[in-house]
Amino acid sequence: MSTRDFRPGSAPNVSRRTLLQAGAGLIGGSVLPASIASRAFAEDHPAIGTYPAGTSGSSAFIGISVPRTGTYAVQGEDELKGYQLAIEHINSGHELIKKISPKTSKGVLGKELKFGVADSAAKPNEAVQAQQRFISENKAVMITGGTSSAVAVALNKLAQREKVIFVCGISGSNDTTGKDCVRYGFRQNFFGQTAAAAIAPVLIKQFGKNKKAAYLTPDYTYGHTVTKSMQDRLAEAGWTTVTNQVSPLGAPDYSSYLLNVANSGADVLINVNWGHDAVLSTQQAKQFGVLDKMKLVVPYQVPFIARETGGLMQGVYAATDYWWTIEDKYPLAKMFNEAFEKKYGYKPEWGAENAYVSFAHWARMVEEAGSFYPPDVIKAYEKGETLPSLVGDVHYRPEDHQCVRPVVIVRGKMEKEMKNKEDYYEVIEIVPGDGLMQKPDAFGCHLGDYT
Amino acid sequence: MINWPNFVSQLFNGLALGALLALISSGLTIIYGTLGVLNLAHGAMFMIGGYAGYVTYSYTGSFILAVIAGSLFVMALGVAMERIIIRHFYHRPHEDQLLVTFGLGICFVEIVRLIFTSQSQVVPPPALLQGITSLGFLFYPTYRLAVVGIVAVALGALFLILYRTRLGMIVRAGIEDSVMVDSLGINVYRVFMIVFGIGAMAAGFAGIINAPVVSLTPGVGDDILVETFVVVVIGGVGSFPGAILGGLIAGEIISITSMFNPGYAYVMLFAAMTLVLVLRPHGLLGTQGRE
Amino acid sequence: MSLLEVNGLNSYYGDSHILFDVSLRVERNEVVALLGRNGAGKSTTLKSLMGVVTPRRGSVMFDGVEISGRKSHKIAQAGMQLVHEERRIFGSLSVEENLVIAGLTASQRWPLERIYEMFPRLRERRGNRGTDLSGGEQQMLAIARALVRDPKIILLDEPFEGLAPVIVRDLMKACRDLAEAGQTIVLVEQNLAATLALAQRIYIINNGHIVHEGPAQEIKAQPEVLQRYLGV
Ligand SMILES: Nc1ncnc2c1ncn2[C@@H]1O[C@H](COP(=O)(O)OP(=O)(O)O)[C@@H](O)[C@H]1O
Ligand SMILES: [Mg+2]
Repeated sequence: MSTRDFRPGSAPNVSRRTLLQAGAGLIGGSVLPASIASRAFAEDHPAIGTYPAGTSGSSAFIGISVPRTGTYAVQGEDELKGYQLAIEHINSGHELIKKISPKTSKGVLGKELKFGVADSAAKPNEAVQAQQRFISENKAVMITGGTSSAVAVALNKLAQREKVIFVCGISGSNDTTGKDCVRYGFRQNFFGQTAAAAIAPVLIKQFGKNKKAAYLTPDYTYGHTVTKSMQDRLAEAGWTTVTNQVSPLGAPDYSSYLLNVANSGADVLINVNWGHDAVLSTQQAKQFGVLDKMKLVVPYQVPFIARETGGLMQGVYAATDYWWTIEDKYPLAKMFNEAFEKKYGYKPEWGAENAYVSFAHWARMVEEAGSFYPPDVIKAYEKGETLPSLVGDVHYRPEDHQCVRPVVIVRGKMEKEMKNKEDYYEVIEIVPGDGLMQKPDAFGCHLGDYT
Repeated sequence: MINWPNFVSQLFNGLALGALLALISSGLTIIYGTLGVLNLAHGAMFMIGGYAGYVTYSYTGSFILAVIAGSLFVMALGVAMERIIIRHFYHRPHEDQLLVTFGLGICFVEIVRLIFTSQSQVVPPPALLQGITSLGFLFYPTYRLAVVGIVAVALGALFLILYRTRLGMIVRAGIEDSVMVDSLGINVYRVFMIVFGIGAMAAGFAGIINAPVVSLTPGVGDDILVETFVVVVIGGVGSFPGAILGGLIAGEIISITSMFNPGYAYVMLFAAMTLVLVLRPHGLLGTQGRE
Repeated sequence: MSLLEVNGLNSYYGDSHILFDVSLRVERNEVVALLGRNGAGKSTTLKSLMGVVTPRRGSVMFDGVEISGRKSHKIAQAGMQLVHEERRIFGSLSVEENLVIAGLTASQRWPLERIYEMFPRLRERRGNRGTDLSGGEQQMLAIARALVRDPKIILLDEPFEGLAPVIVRDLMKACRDLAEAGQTIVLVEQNLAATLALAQRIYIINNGHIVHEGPAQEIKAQPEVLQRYLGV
C-alpha cells in the first residue's frame, strides 16, 4: 500500500492565477538555513510579524496582489509593471531610485528583493487569502495591493493584525487613510477628497455656479466617498445633485442608469466609475446621446480610459495622480517615463507611477530606519520628512499615513491637438497637495498600535 | 426620476435587455434540458462569439461577416467541446459536470485574455445603424433598436427549428426524456452534439450582436452567465418559451428597479428568482420533467 | 434458433447486484410471461434487454446477433421495443408526434392508419398533447408507439396495471390480436389470470434468480410454486 503525500498549502482554494514570480535564484535565497542569519537583529528588537525571519537570508520578499482579471484587470497589469520596474531598480541600484532613496546601493539594506504575484480580481477575500499565504509561507516583509479600495481596506486590516507593512496600491476611498486607516498602512496616491478639492474649482470656473449634476457611482467605499466629496465641494458653489446612479462593480450594462441620467435634466455628468466600468459606462453614455446633452467629468481618472474609449475623453476634465507629459516640469518623471517605456513599450499611467514611487519610498524608509523592524520603518515614515517623488516634493502625514502630494488636473485633447498617439491630455493645473487635504482626524482615522 | 417618460423609456429598455437575455438563455436551457448538463462555459461562449466576430470584423470590415463567423465559430467550438470532453461526463455526477464546464469556461477566458489582453476591444455597429433614433417618448440608440429586431428574428428561427422540424421534435422529446428517445432508435448522442452546437451558437450569435453595445473584454460573459442562469430558473429549466418569458421578466426587473434605485436591480432580480422558486419550484413554464 | 436467447445475465444498480445469471429464451411468434413479486427484478430484466440498463456480464443473442452492451438505439434498430411500466410518453408532444418520432429510424413501420384502426381512441386524440391523455390512453399510446416500429419483439412491462377493467379488457384484446397475428411478446404482469390467458410459457424470477420455467397451463397445477414465489 502506498502512503499518500500530505502536502500542506496545496489546498485548491487559492486564487486561480496565483503564481510565484520570483526572480533568479529564489530557491537559493529562501531556502537558506535560518541558523546563519545575523543575530544582531534579533538582539536589538523583539520578533514581530515576519521580522526577523523575513530577512534572515540574503533576500527579502514582497507580496504583490493586483487584479489581473475582472473589471480592473487593465489597471492591475499597469500597476504590476510599475512594481516590477521598482524592484528591478532597487535591486540594481538604479540612479532614479537613488534620487528618491539616496542611501540605496543595491537591494534594501543589502537584501535582494524577491516577490510573488497573486490575482486579487479586485476582490478583498482573494487578496487577503493570497497575502496571508505570502506572509506565512514566504515571510513577506511588505505587502501591497489595491486597485479597489475594498481590497485596500481589507489589506489594511490584515497588515495591522499580522504586523507587516502594507504599501497601498491604487485606492481612491477616503476611508483608506480615514476611518479604516491603520498604523501599518501607507498611501501615496490621491483620493476622493483631494480629487474633489482639486477639480471642483476648475469645474466651477469652467461651467459656472448653480449647476445640476448627475453622478454614476460604483457601489462600494471608493464610489460612495468620492461622490460624497464631490457633492460637498460643488454644493459650496450651489451645485445640486439631480440623480446619483449607483451600480454594482462590473455591471454588464449601463443602459438603465443612463436613461435615468438622460431624463434627469443634468448639466454635467460626473462619472465616478473606474476600470472597465468607466470605459463601458462612458461608451454607452455616448450611445445614448447623454454626452451630447451634458458635459462629462471624471474626478478620479481611470488610467487607460482615453485609449480605450476612442475620442470620448476629448474636452473632458479629469483629476489624476500622474500624467506623463508633466515630465517637462519634473526631471524624475522624465527618467521614469523613459525607463518604463523602454521596458514595456508604452507611456506609464498612474497605476505604474503610484506603484513605483510607493516602493521607492518604502525602500528609503527602511534604509533610513537602518532595519526592517516594522515599528522603526513606520517611525521613519512618520517623521514626515520632505521626499522626492515623480511629481515633486511630498511628505507623509504622521497622523493618518497619507502622502501629501499634488493632484494633476487634465483635459482631454482634441484629436488635432495631439502631438503623438499617446498625447491624450493637456495638463491644466498641478494643484499642490497641502490645501486639498481634510484635517487628519476629519474622516475618523485612529492609527492602531506599533506592536 | 419617477415620471411618465422615464417609466416608458425604462419599460422599453427592459424589453431590449430582456430580448438578448432570452436568446442567450434559450441556448443554455435547451442544452440543460436535453443533455442534463448545466454548461457553465455558456458565458464564455457568448464572449468568444464576440471576439470571433471582432477578429473577422478587423480583417474584413464587414459586420455581417462578423456575425456569421462569430456564430459558426462558436457552434463549431460547441460541437468540438461536446465531442471531445462533455460526452465523457454524461454518466458522471452533476458536480463533475459543473466542474468541467466551469473549468473550460475559465480556460476559454484566459486564452482570450492571453491573445487580446484585458483591454477592451470595440466592434462598431454597421454604419446604417449608428446614431440615435427618436421614438417620440425617448431617444434610443439605433443599434439597440435593431438588436431587438435581430434577436426577435433569431428567436423566431429557433422557434421554427424547435417546433416545426423533425430535429426540433426530437429535441423537445429529448428535453423530456432522452433515454426514451434513444430507445426509439434515435441516436440520442448525436442529438446531444447537435443541441450543444445550436445552444452554443445562440450564445455566440448573441455575443457578436451584443459586441457593439458593450465593448469586449474577456470577462464580458461572466455576469451574463449569472443573469442567464437566473432567467432559466425563473422560466423553467428546459423550457424554450420559459427562457423567453424569463428573459423579458429579468430585463424589465433590472430596468424598472433601476428607475427607483439602481443599487437594488440585482437584489430584485434574485428576489424574483427566489419568489418563483418558492411558488413554482419548476419555474414559470417548467414541468416536473427530468429526474 | 430462438429469436431471443439470454444467458447468464448479471445487472447492477451502482454496487447493488440485481440480476444473477438470468437465462431465458423466446421463440418466434411466442408469448412468454415473466412473473415475480414486486422488486424481484422483472423490470430490470426488460431494461437490461433493451440496453436502458447495461448488463455487466452475460450474453443476449437477438435474432442471431449479440446485443448486450450496445446502446439502446442500436438495439431498437435491431428490432426490439420496450413499453415501460411508467409508459414514458412525451407529454409535451402531440399523440401523433409521439407516433411519428418513434418511426423515424425504423426500417419498416406500421402506417399510422393501422395504428388508429387498432386504437380508434388515439385517432380521436391525435392532436392532443401527451399530458392531456387519461391513463388508459397513455398506455395505448405507449404500446402503439412501440408497434410503429414493427418490432420483432415487444417487451410489455405491466401494461394493465392501474387501469379500469373496461380498458384492461380492450388492451387485452389488442394484445391477443397481436399475438394471433404472430407478434412475439414478452409480458411482465402481476395479474395472473390475464397472463395465463395470453402466455404460452412462463418464467418466474425471484430475488434476481430465475426459479421456474414451464408451459403456462401447468403452473395452475403447481399451487406451491405460486404460493412460494408469487404469494397467491
Ligand atoms: N434505479 C434503481 N436504482 C437502484 N435500485 C433499483 C433501481 N430500480 C430498481 N431497483 C431495485 O432493483 C430491484 C429490482 O427492481 P425491479 O426490476 O424494478 O423489480 P420489479 O420490476 O420486479 O418489481 C429492487 O430491489 C429495486 O429496489
Ligand atoms: Mg417493475
